[in-house]
This record gives sequence, C-alpha cells and structure tokens, in this order.
Amino acid sequence: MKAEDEEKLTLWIDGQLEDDQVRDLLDAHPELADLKKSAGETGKLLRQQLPLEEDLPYPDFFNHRIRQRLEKEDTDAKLPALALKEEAQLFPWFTRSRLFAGFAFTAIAIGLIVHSVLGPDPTGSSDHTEIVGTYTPNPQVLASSRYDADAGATIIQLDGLAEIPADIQISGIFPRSYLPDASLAATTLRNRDTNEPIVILENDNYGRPSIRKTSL
Amino acid sequence: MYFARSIHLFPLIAICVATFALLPATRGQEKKSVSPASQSQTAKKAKAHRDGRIWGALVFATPEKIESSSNDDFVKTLTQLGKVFPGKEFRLLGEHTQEIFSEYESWVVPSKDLFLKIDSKGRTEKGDGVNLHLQLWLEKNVLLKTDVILRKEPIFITGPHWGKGQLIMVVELR
Repeated sequence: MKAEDEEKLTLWIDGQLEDDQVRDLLDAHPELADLKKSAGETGKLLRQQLPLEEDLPYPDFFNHRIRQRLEKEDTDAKLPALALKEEAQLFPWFTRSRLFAGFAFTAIAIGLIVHSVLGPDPTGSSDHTEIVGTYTPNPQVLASSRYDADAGATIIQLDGLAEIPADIQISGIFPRSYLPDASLAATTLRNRDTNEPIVILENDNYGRPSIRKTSL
Repeated sequence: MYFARSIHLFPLIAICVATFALLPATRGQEKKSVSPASQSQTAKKAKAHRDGRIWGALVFATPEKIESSSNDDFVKTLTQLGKVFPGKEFRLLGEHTQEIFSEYESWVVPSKDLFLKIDSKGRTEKGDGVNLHLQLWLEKNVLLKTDVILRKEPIFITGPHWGKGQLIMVVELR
C-alpha cells in the first residue's frame, strides 16, 4: 500500500474522507472495507471500557489549589512593583537615598570597630577602686558601698555596729612591714622607727587573730 | 534588586554590630600557681610574688575641734576624708604599710584593736591594681569581709563609733 493510500485510510477511519475518495480507495483496495469495520468495532469497545470523562476525587480542593496557584502567580508578577511601593511608604528616606544609607551604614560599622579596638577600654583602667562584694557575719550589721567621685574614694559604710564605750582606750601603733612566714606560729611587729617589738600577732585555736603586747 | 529589598535591614545589622563591638572584653583573673605543699618554705618564699604595698590607717573622725594630724603622707587622705565626711576633724591614730604577697595572708595592724587581714589574689591583668580579700577585725570579732579590686584610690571603711566620734579604717595601695 502506498503511503498516500495509508493516509487516506487513516482519514477514512476518522470520518474525514470524502465519499468519492472513499469509493476510489475501495476500488483500489477492496480489503480495506473489512479493516475499516474492524477498526470501528475496536474503537467502539475502547470507548465503552474507557470513559472519556472522570469525576475528580476532591473537586473543591482541586479548584481551591488551582485558584491559589493562579493568585500566587499573579502576585509574584506584581511583587517587585509592590515591594518598591511599600518600601517607599515605610522607608522613604532609604528609598530616596539608598546609596547614602549604604555608605552611612558602612561608615558606622567601621567606626564602631575602630572605636572598640582603639578606644578606651570599657573595663576602665582608672584609679577607681571596685568593691566586688561585702559580707558581715553579724546580721545586725549592714554593709553598703558607694563611690565619691569628688573625693576620689570608695566608702564602705557599716551600719549597726555596737558603739565602743568612751572609757575604752583605742590606741594606734606604727609598725613596719614584715615578711609573712607560714612556718612561724607568731609574727612580731616592730616599730617602724625604732625597730623595737610592739605586738605579737598569732592565731588562736579557732583561727582568730590574737594580738598581744610584747614584754618589752 | 536584592540590595534594594534588603536595605531596610541595615539598622538591625548596625545594632548587632554595635552590640558586639561594645561588649566588654572578658578579662580573666591571672591564675597564680600555688607552691606544692611538699616544697620547703624557702622555696615558697622564693616563688611568692610581691603584689604591692598596702597602707592601712586608723583614723578618728569627730565633729569636735581637735588637733588634726599633719603628717605629710596623710595630707592627701585628709583632703579626701574631708570631702566624704564634711564637718569632721580627723586624727591619725596609727598606720601600717605592709607588703603583700600572692597566696599569703598579711595583717595590716595600725591598732591592736582594729586591724585588717588581707589575702592577695594577685595583680589585675592590667597591673593597675590588686585583687584582695579584706577582713576588718575588732579584736576577736570580724566585722566585715569584702572582695575588692584595690587601685590607687583608697577605701574608707566606717568602723564603730567611739566616744564623740567614729573610727575609720583607710586602705590604700601604695
């Protein structure tokens, strides 16, 4: 069969061939009448077994997703213009001066880094004495600390201490520096001017200091 | 376009950078090694590091007219005391300048009644002060325990009232 005849056969089966052309084709190939009939029956069987339309399992959900997808595509297409418009409303200064804002940010960042590296130490290297913590074993006594900038001094105030009666003699001494020695049970403090022993310093059995005058 | 859309994040980024840059650096305290117990006291002394000299002074402050001390070393402290305790007169009762060493307790005894126990925990990292644990004793009673970073400026510890005035312990790094 020629290619031209095969093409005519396909058109005939599809019902698109003119009557005179059908007649010519059957004259040339009479066996094609049976083939046409067989193809028609096969098509009929296929149409019966395979429905052309089928119901969707969840049509509402399917439609909803389609609608969402369409809206998203529509929004995405408009997004650049919308973003610029919103940005212009919220950050008009940046919008008008993008380049300036970028430079300003960079300058600030560099300035902060330089300041942190070369600037004054935030921990301070001043002469200021710091009180880290205070504790008073006697609960009646309260300790508070403050800094007097004018005087350049830190004050620890003890409130609630018992007063020392005026008839008790409080006297001072002027010892010289001594070299601590843990191997010694007692340390003798000597007068800084005369080097004479003044007091003997030792710990009692409870670890408390005991200061007594020397026999001299 | 990416730059244009993200430019409004710059203030947030700037705040983050500023926070990071201004964070105070953690400065750990210098760890001093303790001499092993098995070593001799001589070896310990050789390793003991002198951390500084502490001046402790016992001062009597009173609103009454008294003859104030005129010690040259005391003049600056007198001025400072006058600013902290206005209207008072001050008399130096006693003073003791004591060298302190790491890992050693030292006693600063300007008076046999009121004195200080000092444990040095070493110089500050910058070397501008010394980390101390101070105890203020009144005879056999400890009145105060405090941890301080003592630098050039003094500490005034207000002690008990006595007679018509008050005792003040001055602690200063010298």
